[in-house]
Amino acid sequence: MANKVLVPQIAVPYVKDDLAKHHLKMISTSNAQKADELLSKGKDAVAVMLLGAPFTKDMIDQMPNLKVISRFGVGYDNVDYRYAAKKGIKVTNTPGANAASVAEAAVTDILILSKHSYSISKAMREGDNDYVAKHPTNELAGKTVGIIGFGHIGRMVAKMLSGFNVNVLIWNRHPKQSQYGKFVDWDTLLKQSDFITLHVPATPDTIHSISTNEFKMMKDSAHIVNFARGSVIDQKALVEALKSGEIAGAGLDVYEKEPLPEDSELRKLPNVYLTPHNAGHSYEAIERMSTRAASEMERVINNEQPKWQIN
Amino acid sequence: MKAKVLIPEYAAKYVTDDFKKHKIEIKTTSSTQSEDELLAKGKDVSGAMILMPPDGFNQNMIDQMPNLKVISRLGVGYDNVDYHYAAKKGIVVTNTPGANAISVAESTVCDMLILAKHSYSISKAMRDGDNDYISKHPTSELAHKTVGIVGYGHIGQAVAKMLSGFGVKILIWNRHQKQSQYGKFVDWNTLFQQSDYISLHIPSTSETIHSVSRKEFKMMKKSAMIVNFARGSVIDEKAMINALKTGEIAGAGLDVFEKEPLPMDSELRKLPNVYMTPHISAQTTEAIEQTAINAASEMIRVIEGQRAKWQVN
Repeated sequence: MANKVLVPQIAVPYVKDDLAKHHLKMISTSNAQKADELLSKGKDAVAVMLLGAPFTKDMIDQMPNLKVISRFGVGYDNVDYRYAAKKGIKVTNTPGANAASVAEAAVTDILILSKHSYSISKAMREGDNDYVAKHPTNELAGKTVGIIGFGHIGRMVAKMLSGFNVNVLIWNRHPKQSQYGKFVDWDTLLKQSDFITLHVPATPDTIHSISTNEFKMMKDSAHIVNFARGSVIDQKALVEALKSGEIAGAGLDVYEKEPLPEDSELRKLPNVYLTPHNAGHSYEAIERMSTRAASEMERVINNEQPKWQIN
Repeated sequence: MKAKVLIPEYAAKYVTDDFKKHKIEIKTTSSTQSEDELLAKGKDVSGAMILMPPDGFNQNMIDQMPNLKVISRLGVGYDNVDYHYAAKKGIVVTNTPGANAISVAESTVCDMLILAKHSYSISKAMRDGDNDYISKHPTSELAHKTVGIVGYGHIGQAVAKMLSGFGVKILIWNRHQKQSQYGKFVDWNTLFQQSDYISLHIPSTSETIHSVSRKEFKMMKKSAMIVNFARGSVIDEKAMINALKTGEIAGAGLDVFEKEPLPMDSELRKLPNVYMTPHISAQTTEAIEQTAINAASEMIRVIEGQRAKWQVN
């Protein structure tokens, strides 16, 4: 009997031939991947390719043949990877596969915030060509950009900014070297930056690491950009800082709760630019994440060592 | 009697002291600067600092300002000034090359990224409660794509430099071929055929007006996008609308239009694959200050009988 693997719709076009070649029986799922759906389609699956939906202990217990949970993407905070390890199930991810996409999107947000691009364009479509007169825009040149977290994505952001004549400050858990910026301590980065962009994973050390104290340290004119995880920012403190003018604005792709609830205060603030956690989902990144996540599943099923095991 | 100058209100705070020091009297105008307003306020002025007056700075206005010595453009393009006629009357026309180049170049790169990532539409859909827009409209990476820069003056060069960290291939067309560490000079057709993003940075002259028209859109890839921060007249807007509607090209990022402000009934407003801004890329706080200071210094030079630095006529 062919081994059954669960694959989200988004990845199917890129991996179906390859999985067939490896004699795996692909079952496609929706991209939502709710527990009910995964369990009803694949209790007997040996592998799951997983997007952002939670993969809990209970689900692991109900899938006795499972050998590998292959994250399509980088963060794995949605998987109970410790419990998986105990049961001998490997959890993998696809580091770097969407780094360029996410880094480009972070730079896009920095530029959009600096130029009020979204609001100006929206006002123009509505017939108001004069919005800019009331909302002066800025050059990025000469400003200081603080990059928090210097993994794949943070490094690419620094490189992309190298042609803009900005001063780049970097904070990383372990200071490294970079030709593109200067490593500084946490407080210095927060106090001196005009734009702060977050590229740290969600871990017990980083969750809510950006909170009231950090917003107080930031300049009133500073903007924060988050393409990491919503939980890294204390969202309530962020809303407060945006409303009181403690900071000037935010560009957000990730939220504490996703999709961002319709009644979230963030939606009402004019100084927030929002996207729905889609930075990593370019054609190019989807293809790379799909093929890499599939090859990790194939490796584990064939009893080979996966390349990017995280547990 | 003191010399008088007309300057737009928003530039006043950067240059008032300077004019005072030179004993020149300031009269401020709105940012619109219609013909009526300029003539009502300034028939007797020696200098006019101008943005983008809707009626241009035409022969009639020049004739009605007998003391005029200098027309100083805040910005680079001077296609809205009748500079030939001004020259005949001994009036110096100046601009401020480079002063807003960084602002315009940053906006250009911003538009390329917004187009690659459908940023405007995705954010708007999310605000409207549709988080699923993204699954129907996959975005792209800029990395590994080919960007064609048409015109390699201050702004084109700044765009090339800004793109140097993105891992893109850069093609450049310029009237006179130069050298660049950031990209390769190619002929017109090659640039249009091979580029995924094409960005225009040429002035509006008799040679460039409508230089991007049907033939160019046909040469472009169906997946290609065009970005215009030069002048609306450089593109044949009717041909572009057709190319955008038929799928001959994938999208456009536009800050300039054949008619400005863009009429409310313009077809461009109805197209979902157009990202538009109302000719504001040069209006950053930094560029406004720098262009105002440079434009004022040109007026002061000419009024005091010195040679202008950036005379264009």
